[in-house]
Amino acid sequence: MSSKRPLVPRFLRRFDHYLLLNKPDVWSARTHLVIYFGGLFIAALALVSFVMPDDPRSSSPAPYWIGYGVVISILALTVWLIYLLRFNVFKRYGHITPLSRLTTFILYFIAVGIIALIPMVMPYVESVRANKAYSDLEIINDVNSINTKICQLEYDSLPHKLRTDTILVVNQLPQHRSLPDEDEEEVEYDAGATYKARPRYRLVDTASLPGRITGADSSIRLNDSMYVLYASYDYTFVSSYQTSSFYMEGHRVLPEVYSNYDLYKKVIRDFDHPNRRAVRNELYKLLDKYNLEATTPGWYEYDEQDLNGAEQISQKYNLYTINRNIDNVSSRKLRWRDENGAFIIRLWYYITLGITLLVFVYRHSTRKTFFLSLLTAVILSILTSLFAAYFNQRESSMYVWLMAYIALFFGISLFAFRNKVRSGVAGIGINLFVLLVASLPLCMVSYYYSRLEEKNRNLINPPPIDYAWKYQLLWYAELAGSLLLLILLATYIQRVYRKWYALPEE
Amino acid sequence: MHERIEEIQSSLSHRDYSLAKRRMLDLSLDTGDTSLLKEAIRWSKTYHTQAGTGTGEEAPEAFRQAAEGLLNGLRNYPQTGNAAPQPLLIANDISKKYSKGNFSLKPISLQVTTGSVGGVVGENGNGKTTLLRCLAGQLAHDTGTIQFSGLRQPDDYQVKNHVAFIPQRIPRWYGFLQDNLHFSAALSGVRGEENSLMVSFMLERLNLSQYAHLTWNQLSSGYRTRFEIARVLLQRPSLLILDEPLANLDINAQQTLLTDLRYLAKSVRHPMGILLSSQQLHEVEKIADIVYFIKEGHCLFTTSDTAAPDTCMIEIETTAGREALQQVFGEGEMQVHYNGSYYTLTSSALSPQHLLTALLQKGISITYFRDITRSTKRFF
Repeated sequence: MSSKRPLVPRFLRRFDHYLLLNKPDVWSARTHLVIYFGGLFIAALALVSFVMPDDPRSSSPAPYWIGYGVVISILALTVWLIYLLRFNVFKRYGHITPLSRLTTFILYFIAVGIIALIPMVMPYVESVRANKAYSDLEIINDVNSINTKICQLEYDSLPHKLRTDTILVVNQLPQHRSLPDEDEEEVEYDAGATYKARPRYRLVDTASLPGRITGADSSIRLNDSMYVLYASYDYTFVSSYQTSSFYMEGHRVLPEVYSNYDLYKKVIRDFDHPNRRAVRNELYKLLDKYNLEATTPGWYEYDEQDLNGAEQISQKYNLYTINRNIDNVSSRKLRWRDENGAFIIRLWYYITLGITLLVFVYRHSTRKTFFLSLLTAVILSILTSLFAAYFNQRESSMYVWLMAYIALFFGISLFAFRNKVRSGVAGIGINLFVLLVASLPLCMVSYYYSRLEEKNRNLINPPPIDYAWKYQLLWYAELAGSLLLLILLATYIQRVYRKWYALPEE
Repeated sequence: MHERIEEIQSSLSHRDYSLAKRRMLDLSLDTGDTSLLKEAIRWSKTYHTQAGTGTGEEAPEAFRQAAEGLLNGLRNYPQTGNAAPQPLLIANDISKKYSKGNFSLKPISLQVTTGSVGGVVGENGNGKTTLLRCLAGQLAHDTGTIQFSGLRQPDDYQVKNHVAFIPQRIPRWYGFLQDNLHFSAALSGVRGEENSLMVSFMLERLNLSQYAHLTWNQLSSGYRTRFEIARVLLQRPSLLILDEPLANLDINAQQTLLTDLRYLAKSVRHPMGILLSSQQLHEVEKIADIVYFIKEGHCLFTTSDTAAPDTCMIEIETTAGREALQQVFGEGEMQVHYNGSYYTLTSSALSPQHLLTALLQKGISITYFRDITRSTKRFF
């Protein structure tokens, strides 16, 4: 059999033949071929991505690579399906162990998972390269140094004092403004008018006081109800909101990027005249490190007449480009961390699971029943959406619908054990139950929280929702859904498919 | 055992090497000796290279010596005979009516035992396929019962594992022929070394070795049928049901397949029951233990009916005309029917031998003769 496959190495041919003779269910899944060829392709792609000239400071070409990877994945999936669909262990009435369906599902999942990995290879390598080129600490230190040095060099054109804001705390804010505010009405100029000192403070209610105090860089309490809040001007010329995610490197807790107030304290407040030449040289060295003007043409158009002080400084040091480049490095570095990484892994997992379930269901049902199942799913989705829109259904009711559908499909699938003939309705019920059952725990948790939030909306003092625990619970629900599916595959699903497919036709 | 060895020896001495090869393989399989079976397969493979390709040509000395060596090996095995036939399937009054269309299969009862070959004959559209599909568990029957004696509390899956059904239009398969055979054998629990051996055996036994690396598109419809039989046999079913297996085969292949089926059914090691439908009445009747004639959904006749027919019937082909034939016999002694190809002579007074003798004595030239008194052909 293998003599006609010149691309298959000898050892793989022998292994393939061994599986054919001894493990027909494993052999027919072709996962071993996907692992070998997919692994080789991914390794080659990773190598190309590693050696390909690419500067982490430039904007990422990942979207193009992802598009390319998706096309390759679709081709690979098609080839795999062509091979997979040649042999079906489940429609030959052979000697199949109860765990065979579970094993096959896992093998399908591995094969699809490897294929679905292809679009992620280049973005991952890009991230690795960026992390190798620039450490988190290095970026933080560079950003801090650049900001410090600019403040030193541009001290004369920067504000030297903190902004002040006096607030008067009241229990309840008046309905109309009786005291001046920033956006007071314009009045006509009166040359004969004399200046009258008016108290300048802002009214705030007691509830917002803690937030205002913690939001301020510094504060002074004048009396029980009056406070002066201090806030520094903007001294951070180079910043990337993404650098705030650099808090750990290995086991080391990293310093933070200087805030405006940090820069005020370090440079402005007790200004010490630096050696300007040395500072300027150091600054340009740092700016050069992140400058990649040639490959990143600026898009920022401005008229010098309209520039304020900070913008003039940015223009002087080409900081728009520097900022963008630091952002590019940071986004490459952070692509696989924390929420980003979790999102990509989830995306990969659900794409893999979805395709695997479709292939699994197709393998176990007749072609007609499979496509009727998909059609039923589409029609039910449309009808449910129309119903929900017409009756203005809440989010929680959508979860109820989904859970009701899962229960309904489970009920229909049970008819396979009672029927004397292979019924299409029972087949559709089984297929849709298999496709949806993994989402049951997630639906339950989502339903609980959406109900809670809906109830809280009607309360004046609603109990706080622990969102950290909610997300933890949702993660457990995802895990439970997968486990539930695996357990059902080894028990109920394998039995119901075995029974249903073997029934005689009408 | 010894009878079968003598049969092989006789075939070899009369240069019927193809038959000798097939019987040698069967016998080697029945011994259960793996090394002997391997030896037989090796010897069988030399058949195409060493034995004369034309019928009746002398095979080389080496081929005959190897055959003798194998036969000597087979002689060392104890005498084993076929076990008593065991019922495999007992169908009582099964009937089927389609929801669409007006055809219905009327209640039919039949039984299949191990080692037996049953034939189902009838004109097109009279219910043969419906009957076979009902028996194979492919189609739900409306009334009656089907009992599978070899199974305890069988579910539908077990029934389909127990009964193999080969439809007239063989479903397309993909990949190489040999892969499909290995796959089917492995699925039936024939694993590892045994799998390789059994696939080699089946390829040789059904003369498919040279097609092992071909795909569906590269095979003729006749070889596809043979392949399907090989694939199904590797699954070791107890009952094999074939719908029109001869439809795509040439006359030689039909004869070979039917005799092969008969031999395989009567295997000592794995006897099975076979039920097949066909339009080739004479060929089927030659090998079938029982033939069921189906017309308009009714089973009109079975060849197991012991009562002698009231009339004898022969069919002949002759250059003589109807008048010449009628002049041979007296008025009322015989009826002559002509279907444009051959004459059917029916007589309640004379036996087939008398009819034939009388025709020859009157100088009627006969190019074809068949006694169909006990054949289902008389109902067509």
